[in-house]
Amino acid sequence: MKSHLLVSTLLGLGLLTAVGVPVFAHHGNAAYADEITEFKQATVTKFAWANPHALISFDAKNAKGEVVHMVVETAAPQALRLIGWANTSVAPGDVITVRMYVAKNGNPAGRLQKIILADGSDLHDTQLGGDEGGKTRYDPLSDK
Amino acid sequence: MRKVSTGIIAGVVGALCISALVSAQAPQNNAPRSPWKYYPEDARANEGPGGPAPVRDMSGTWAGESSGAGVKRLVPPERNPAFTALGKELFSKNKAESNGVLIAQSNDPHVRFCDPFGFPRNMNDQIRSMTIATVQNRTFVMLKFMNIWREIWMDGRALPTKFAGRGADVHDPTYNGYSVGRWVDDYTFVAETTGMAPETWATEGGLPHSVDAKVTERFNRSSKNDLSLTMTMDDPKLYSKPVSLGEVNFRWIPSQTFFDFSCVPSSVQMYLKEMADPSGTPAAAK
Repeated sequence: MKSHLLVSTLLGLGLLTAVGVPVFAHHGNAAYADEITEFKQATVTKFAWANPHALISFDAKNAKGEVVHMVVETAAPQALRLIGWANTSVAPGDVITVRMYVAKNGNPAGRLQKIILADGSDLHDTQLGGDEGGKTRYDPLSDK
Repeated sequence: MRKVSTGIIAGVVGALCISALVSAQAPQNNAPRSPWKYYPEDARANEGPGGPAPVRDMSGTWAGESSGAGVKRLVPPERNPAFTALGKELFSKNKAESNGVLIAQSNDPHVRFCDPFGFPRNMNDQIRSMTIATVQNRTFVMLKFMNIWREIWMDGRALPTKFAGRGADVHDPTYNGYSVGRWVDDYTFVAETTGMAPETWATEGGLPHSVDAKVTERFNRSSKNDLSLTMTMDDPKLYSKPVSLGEVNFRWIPSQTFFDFSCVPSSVQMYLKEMADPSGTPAAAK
């Protein structure tokens, strides 16, 4: 509940943006919201290049300077490598933008849509061609 | 010895030539390429049948539906087979993610603990790639997901049939069971398996099987580039009719290279603790 309030507060402060994008069937999507939430100026605290899913932990500040800690999952490293990721793609201290589908229950977790790095380049979650077999949520056509 | 050396050199030179040819034919970009890396675009670009299937030969490395190479599953496993009362009871206990259950509430032993799929699930779930190799009396099926290998005996032995009780003729059930196989024509290889560990699920959807289940696999190589696998399970204790475990499709990987891919138990515990369980509390299901 506390986390839910945090997310709600951040939304109210305009630090998070809900973007209307359709959701596609994928592994475990029942737990996540149908819209993308964007965290700007997110500071990476951990990048776990792990199976079955790589995890990015990050802090995002609200207007009061309070830090909310989030974790976002993406695909397995082998699938991510096929679409341009490496185990060095992000590192603690990096400041990035995170676009993700947050947990419906308000807990500070979710599934990645994509990250935007400091140089403006982006890395997205698995797409067709990267990890087929019902594990995809990213549709490149919806991100044009 | 000299012949062996010459053969090895010829093999290496041949492999290098094939590798160079594959590289030359792949979609062009400027990134350096490595013979140690898997490029799904190569398999995707290798369109068409590629020529006739070789006779009684499935050897090589094949891309499945989760390989990123655009390989499509042909038929999914049955989701509502003809259960017996016991089968229905056991199925009701399996909380499968693919049946709309959140990971946090799933009791899938693989999802929660990276337990081995066991056969037949390892041939119908997470189909990334497999390598098939045949020696004099056996065919090996090696699955890249979880680094599993199965052996299918071709020396004419009979399958074991007793997996419970006491006695010298009783065999322990195993994750991959006991398999025998034979060519039924020049392009179709049939394997039968018994003795599969009953604690494993037969499919991602949580279909159970008993220790007395028998699974029949039918591999058909229709061309150089195409291999399909149809699976059927007979398990009268749990199902009143044979159950279709679907049909998966494989495509030849030109470079014959795929990557290692395993679920890591310590990592899955981190994933569940930090990600799946917090995001999958009951409130999420509303």
